[in-house]
Amino acid sequence: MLILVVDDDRSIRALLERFLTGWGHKVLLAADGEEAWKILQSTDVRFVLSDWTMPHLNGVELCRRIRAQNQLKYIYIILLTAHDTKRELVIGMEAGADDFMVKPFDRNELKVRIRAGERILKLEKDLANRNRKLNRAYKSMRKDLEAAARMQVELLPKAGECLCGFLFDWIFIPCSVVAGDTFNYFSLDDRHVAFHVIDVAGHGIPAAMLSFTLSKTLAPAAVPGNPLRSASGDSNGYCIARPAEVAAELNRHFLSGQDAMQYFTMIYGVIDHERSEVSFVQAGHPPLVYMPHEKPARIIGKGGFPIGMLSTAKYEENRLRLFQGDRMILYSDGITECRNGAGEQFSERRLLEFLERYSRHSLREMMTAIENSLRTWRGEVNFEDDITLLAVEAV
Amino acid sequence: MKRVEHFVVTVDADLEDIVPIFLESRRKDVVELRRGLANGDYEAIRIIGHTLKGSGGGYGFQTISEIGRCLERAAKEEDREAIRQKSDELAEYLERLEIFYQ
Repeated sequence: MLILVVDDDRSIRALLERFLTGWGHKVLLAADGEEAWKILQSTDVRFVLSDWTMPHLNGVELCRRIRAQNQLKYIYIILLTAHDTKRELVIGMEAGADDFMVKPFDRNELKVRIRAGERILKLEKDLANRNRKLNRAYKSMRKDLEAAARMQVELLPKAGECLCGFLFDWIFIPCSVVAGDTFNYFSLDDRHVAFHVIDVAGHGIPAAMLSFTLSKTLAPAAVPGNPLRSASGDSNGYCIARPAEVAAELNRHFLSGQDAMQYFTMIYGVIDHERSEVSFVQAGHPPLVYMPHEKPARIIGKGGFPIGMLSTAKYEENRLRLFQGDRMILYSDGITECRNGAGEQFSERRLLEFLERYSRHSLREMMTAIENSLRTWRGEVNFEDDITLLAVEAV
Repeated sequence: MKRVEHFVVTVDADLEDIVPIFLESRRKDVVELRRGLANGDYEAIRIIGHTLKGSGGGYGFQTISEIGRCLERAAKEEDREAIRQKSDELAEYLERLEIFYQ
């Protein structure tokens, strides 16, 4: 190891050089702190053995200067001094020395203390290497996550879209890069529009992967195996599955094993625009808010079982009519359970108040107002859970 | 200190070539100590005492460290008599030093 010896006494420099080279170290010599500082600036010395009392810049000032310079490499410093009181030891260590030895010194003690310093420098170096590797791995994972998040966003429907006379809009704020919430709406045929909001239990990558799978599964395509269609005798060979059938089929398909408790809550519904009728199933998800035009909002739904949790779960359908100006709102519990700085939840009551307050505004204005009020309520950029709200209005 | 004809000190053989450097510095210290005493420069004496204290033992000259310790204290107390006495002691020690390397 390369060691910088700093002492104004030539005979001590000679003595230390002799010992250190004898132990296999390489030695640089400096007669005071200033000279040592210059050497430190121009070489890769990581170990300093310095006297305290020296002209120009003393050993304690040298320690302070080394520590003040926020270097990436750590420099280990032993103060080797004839100052021998506890008070001086404290001053020296507080100035940034790693170790303190009183002169006259014992050469064997010096040898083992240098070895201890070497061990610390090695640990520091190993740690720095490990941190570099971790950082690289983190960056690569972060990049992958961001790519996954972009794929998730691409699956989201267009806000402000009108399907068969129904206007759809939404709020979506993932709590981490990738989300466990997902939602969608699309036409099943000329007469029917499907919509869903899903909240996969948990967060992060496992939840996002299931959420992604579900987005792909609950798709409009009339293909074999699509749970939104059931085989029938119509011209395509398929007819539109009832929401309760869809929930039961998904429950069969996504039933968790005993060790993998991965389930999700959902509202899935189908709008029949000819009959202005909505039928939907609630699977453990927060209830749907029905907002008839110029009338008080009310919640509809009794809960139901989450999907993938219980093989014997039965699913029931709810029905409502949506005429011009009527709205329905679906949301995830990330909204009602969103906590403010005091730990208080936003709550269903507060959500209903906001929905009613903005019921005469456009759907877009309502979305903006609720998003703003949630952000104000939260008081910080990050949410603890994914935030999803889907709004539908008959126009 | 008990006075004898010679002060016999055993020093590690691997230090043989650098001991003269050390002794030369200490002889200079004797000169500086006397000058300090003449000028009443107790701070200079204190620093020399401090250096002697720190350096002597490293080479194996415990006596020099001990003299340095006394000089450092005497300088702080501005005890001229003690400084004079210890400076003489150092001079005499250096004069009568006999070193064996092994």
